[in-house]
Amino acid sequence: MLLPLAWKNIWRNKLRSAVIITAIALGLMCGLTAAAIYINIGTQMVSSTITTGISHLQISNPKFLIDREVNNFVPNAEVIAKRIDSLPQVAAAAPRMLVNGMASSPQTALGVQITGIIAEREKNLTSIASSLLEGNYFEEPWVNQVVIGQELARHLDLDLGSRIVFTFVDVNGELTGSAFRICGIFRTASTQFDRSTVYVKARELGQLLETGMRFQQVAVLFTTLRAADTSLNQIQKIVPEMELQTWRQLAPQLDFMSSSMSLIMYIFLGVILLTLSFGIINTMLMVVLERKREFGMLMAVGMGHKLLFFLVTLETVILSISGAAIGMFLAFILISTLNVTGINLAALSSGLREFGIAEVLYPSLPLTMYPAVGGMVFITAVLSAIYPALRALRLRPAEALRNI
Amino acid sequence: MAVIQALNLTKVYNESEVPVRALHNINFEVTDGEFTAIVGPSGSGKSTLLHILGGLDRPSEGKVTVGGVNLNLLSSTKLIEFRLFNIGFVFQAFNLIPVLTARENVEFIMLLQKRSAQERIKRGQELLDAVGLSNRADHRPVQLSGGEQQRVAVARALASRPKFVLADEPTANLDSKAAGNLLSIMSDLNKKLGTVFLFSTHDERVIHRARRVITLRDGEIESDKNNSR
Ligand SMILES: Nc1ncnc2c1ncn2[C@@H]1O[C@H](COP(=O)(O)OP(=O)(O)OP(=O)(O)O)[C@@H](O)[C@H]1O
Ligand SMILES: [Mg+2]
Repeated sequence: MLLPLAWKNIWRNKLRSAVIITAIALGLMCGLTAAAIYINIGTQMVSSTITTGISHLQISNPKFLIDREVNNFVPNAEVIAKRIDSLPQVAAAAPRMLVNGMASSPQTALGVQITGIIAEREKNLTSIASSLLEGNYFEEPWVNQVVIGQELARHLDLDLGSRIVFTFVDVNGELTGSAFRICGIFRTASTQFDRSTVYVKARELGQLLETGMRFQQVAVLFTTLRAADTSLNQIQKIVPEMELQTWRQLAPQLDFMSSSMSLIMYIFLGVILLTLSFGIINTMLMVVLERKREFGMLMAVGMGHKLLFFLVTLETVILSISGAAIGMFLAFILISTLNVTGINLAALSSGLREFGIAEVLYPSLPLTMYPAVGGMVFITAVLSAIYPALRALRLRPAEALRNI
Repeated sequence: MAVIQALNLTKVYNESEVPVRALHNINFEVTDGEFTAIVGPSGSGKSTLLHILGGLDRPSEGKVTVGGVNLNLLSSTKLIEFRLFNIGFVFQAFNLIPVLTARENVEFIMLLQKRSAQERIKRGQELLDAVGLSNRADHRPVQLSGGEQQRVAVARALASRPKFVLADEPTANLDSKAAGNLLSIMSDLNKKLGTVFLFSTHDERVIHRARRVITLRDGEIESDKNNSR
């Protein structure tokens, strides 16, 4: 019964109501859009780190983690990889040879991690093959092909087809090395990764190391993040002696980011709402002061405290929810549009790529966030109504009516 | 039978600082069917008395009983409910909710009383007819003249079926014609429905309409006369 009355009361002072509704709408629109951008940065960082390098899970010989010696390999890595690959929740699994070494060009030298791979297996595991700027993924006829990052190519001043010399320690502790020719140059979201990671064929690397096909790691990519979290025991049973490292352990900063992302977003939106609540309180105080006589009259003729409190609260809630509805609608449109067009940060991207953030952002917001934010606005409105409503109740009808 | 009894009413404002004695030792009774004016110069305590009789303010000493109920004994929450069901109010101005139409204003009080929609509509229509405003029922207060607004207020005051209606200077903002018209309507309704009207005024043009006139001076009853007409 009070609803139509509350609605009409809101439009008594159109300008004032429009101002606060606009404030809430703009605040929420910007807040939600910022949240969508932040969440996209977060998921992009997580997924690009996972798909370019670390994968969801790395299986290693525990000794290798203490002492990165090529002899500390994963026994039967190829067979294990095949077995894990056949699990339904696994997207890909592949063995990797890992050795640290020095990459040199006629100009200069730089420390790198040389990764020996089986190209057709690794292709499914990482996005390197699809991140090539130039060349191809081990499709040249020559021996000793190498795929390197754009950043390394720049540092060493090398082009496609150039020679690059790798030096490293073999299984006998002897310094060894060989020249490779660049068949592909990739570029990921992370410059740091592009500078320090190179891929060669496992067979060729194994020969140089004199280890043959012995792999130091099996990397696993699951179909979903959730599967990655729930399949650990199953994998451990396949390789009881080996050490499992999840992406959460390998990149703890990303794990923190991914798990705290929505909490941080809610806190962020909460702060925006807190700020807006002062505007709401101020507006409603003005309303109450302006309508002193009316409230006095209503109490005089028999409107109870509860109802009056409810009326003021209802007006506050309608005002706030109207603003929120408009804000969320605009945010939805804006986010959906940006999600299609993307936000191109090319101008800033060299800096962002240091952190593994891609150049083009595609903001998106989980749909569950809208009702949750609606609920937060509702609570904010009810809390903001308390003080003005109490002020209305404090009026003494006899006094309110005297001040005519 | 006594509808209202005022016993030794005294009201002192500002008791702690500079006390203002607005009412002193007021005693009187209002019985069924009365149409009574409270008159007196400005500051004589008319509003104070009406507010205390209507349970809007509490006396410093003495008591008011309405239909045998001692208002002093009611909590402020109970007092609001008591007013809703027992007392109708007409103030000098700002009687109506600006965003509601005349009809909605009259029905609102019955809504507070949780009366059925059927009854609200029926009684609302009857009362607007009675104050001669059925053709303006769907107008909002700003679209009505001062006199029309006061007539809606009278209809609203009667809608709750109160034991009596208190009107504090209902004609103060009206011209003579509108004031006379309002008083005729009040007087007619008093006769027709038997509802007690108690109104304050210092308007000579309407005093003669009352059948009983209580005159206040400096917070005391100076005279209490029946108008013989
Ligand atoms: N809240 C208050 N605090 C202190 N004094 C008050 C207060 N309200 C009224 N008074 C004083 O009490 C006295 C009676 O006031 P009241 O308003 O009842 O007179 P009134 O007869 O209604 O006058 P008017 O014809 O001007 O409306 C006046 O002297 C007034 O100044
Ligand atoms: Mg007065």
